[in-house]
Amino acid sequence: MGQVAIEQLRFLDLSGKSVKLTDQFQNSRLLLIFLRHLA
Amino acid sequence: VADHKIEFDRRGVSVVVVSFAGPAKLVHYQERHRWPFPILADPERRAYRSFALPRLTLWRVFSPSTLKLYWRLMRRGMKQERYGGGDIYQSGGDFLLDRDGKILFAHRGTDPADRPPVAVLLREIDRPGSASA
Repeated sequence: MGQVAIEQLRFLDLSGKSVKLTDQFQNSRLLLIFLRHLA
Repeated sequence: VADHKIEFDRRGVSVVVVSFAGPAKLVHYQERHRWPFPILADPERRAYRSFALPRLTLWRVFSPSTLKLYWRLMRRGMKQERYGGGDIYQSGGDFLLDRDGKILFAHRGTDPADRPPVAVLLREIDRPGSASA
């Protein structure tokens, strides 16, 4: 199905702080939902 | 998905929502929608590119299934909010990952109405090959 280098992915949280995707894993699996434009 | 948080919790799956809008817009968006999950900004769309989420064509953005969806939402009373524009051509998607970055399930939206139902997501999570690492 594929592989993504998630350790390289960074996002901004709502305060504007940079966060790593790997830190978002509270469990062993993670569902990532990419939105389209906000409506 | 938001209405089924307990189903994801029960299966040991964290849920994270990503938008290409900036944090300031997302604060406003989150105040209105109150997703029960973390919502993160990817304004440079690096993650969108990493997951091969393309921009859609005009025909895809205004496909018959999209117009049908918008009509249904309008009939339910949903009003379009103004969050300061945005790229209507950017596609969305849903990905189930393990800690190593292995993609266990992928759905790339072919038009704005194309999102997997929660039942499909839960079925994929429950699939034996998708077991936690």
